[in-house]
Amino acid sequence: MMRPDGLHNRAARRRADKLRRRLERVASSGGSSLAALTTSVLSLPGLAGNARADAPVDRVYLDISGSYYKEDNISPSEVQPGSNRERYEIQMYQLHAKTPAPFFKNVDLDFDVVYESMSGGSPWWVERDTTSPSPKAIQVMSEPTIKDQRTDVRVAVNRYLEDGRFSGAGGASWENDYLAGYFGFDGEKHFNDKNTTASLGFTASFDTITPTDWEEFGRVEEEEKWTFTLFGGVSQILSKVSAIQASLTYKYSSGYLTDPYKRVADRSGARPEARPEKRNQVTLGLGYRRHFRSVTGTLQLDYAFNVDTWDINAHTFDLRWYQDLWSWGRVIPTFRYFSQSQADFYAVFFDFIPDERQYYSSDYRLSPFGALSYGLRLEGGGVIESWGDLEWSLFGSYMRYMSDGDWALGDVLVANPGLVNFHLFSAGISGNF
Amino acid sequence: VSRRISACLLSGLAVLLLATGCAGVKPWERELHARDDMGWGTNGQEAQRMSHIFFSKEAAMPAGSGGGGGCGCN
Repeated sequence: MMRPDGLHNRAARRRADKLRRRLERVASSGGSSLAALTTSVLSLPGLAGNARADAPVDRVYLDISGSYYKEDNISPSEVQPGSNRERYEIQMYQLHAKTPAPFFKNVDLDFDVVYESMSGGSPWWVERDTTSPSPKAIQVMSEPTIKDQRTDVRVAVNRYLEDGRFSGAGGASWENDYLAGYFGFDGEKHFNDKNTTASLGFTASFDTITPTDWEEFGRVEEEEKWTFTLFGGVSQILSKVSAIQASLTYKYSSGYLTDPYKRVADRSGARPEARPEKRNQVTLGLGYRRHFRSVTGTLQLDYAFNVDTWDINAHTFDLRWYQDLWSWGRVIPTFRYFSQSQADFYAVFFDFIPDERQYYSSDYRLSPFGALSYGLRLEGGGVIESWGDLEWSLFGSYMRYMSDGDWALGDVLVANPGLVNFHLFSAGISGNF
Repeated sequence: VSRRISACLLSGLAVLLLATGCAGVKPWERELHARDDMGWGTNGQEAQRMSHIFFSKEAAMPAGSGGGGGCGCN
């Protein structure tokens, strides 16, 4: 490629300047490595807009998708004889719109709506299997009568600056027994001739839970919690084909952090679990991107280390390969490995819980385990010129998730029988107008 | 635990400082960085889905996220 600093005549220099400006616009408008961390903090409650650009959109973009999530039935050998074996299933529908803001230059808006319909049974508490000569746990399941719906609505305003962006977002999520409201701000600034991008963000969430059947099962009637998250990160372009990112996330949670539907059992019977009222979490994230021109494919590697004041350490490794298929499609195989240690107040089962013990839980999500997941995503798209250059795309994806005590990085003496395996199918369509 | 959190913070800071020391790539050499697969967020709706599922089934907080919305019970 031409280098403008090697040119000697004025006309050629003008042409080179024009080319450089055009490439700068490409690199900054579509360059999501520069817009690196845009979805991060504002994804609190999981509602990320597309990390699509470092400039406002000039048309309306719509993404619509549907997903089906289905957990495997619990194994007969892991469950109390005669107990329900059926677990959760969820239908999820998502709508995202990104649109230029009326009256304001360099501003665009994101709207997200999620609707979920959930049903099935859930792990309730764990007991020691007294018929087994070696320590063995069995799961007591709830009846498969749980039914709930969740709706989540979020709005974000994005203001684009010459060397960065600033966004504010707010939203709410509600279920039959749960209400959450949240807001957040985040921004990013480019440095070093736009080779480096620094991001900062903050979010706050206030949640209220009013458990169903609280009198019948001795649950709390109504409880609240606050959550604050701080995020900082840097992404750096390393070469023409590679980039790296590092981030730190800190989260402080205060209030009712217990799951009101989980119980623990000892010799005296089952009672509601109890967790500490405060939790501090820190996550270090590292990412690497490398494009291979020879095969028109891109490697994505991500690692996260999480530590918290409940004594849980976790490692997450993510691997994705984006393979272009001719000019219209892409296939993306994915692989993920996750491992966590147990919370300090967790035990798979309790023989006896003394009165002075404050916190106790047998929830499988606080147990030590490892999880493997793999998946495949197929994408295709194009432009219909006769419809005003309408850009469209379709995708279909599948993911399998499996967890096991033996797959944890540390030793696990007795795995929690409630560990989950699931399938996830998704499909969607996108377009602009 | 506080020692582990401090170590985590310090190592993160070191990585950030090292990363910013890299040599620059000129704007006209960055066309491949405009590809969406060279970015840091996966597809927005997919990230949203996966964040909520992992928040509901695992105890860790993902990098760059406040977790998931809703109860995450069951």
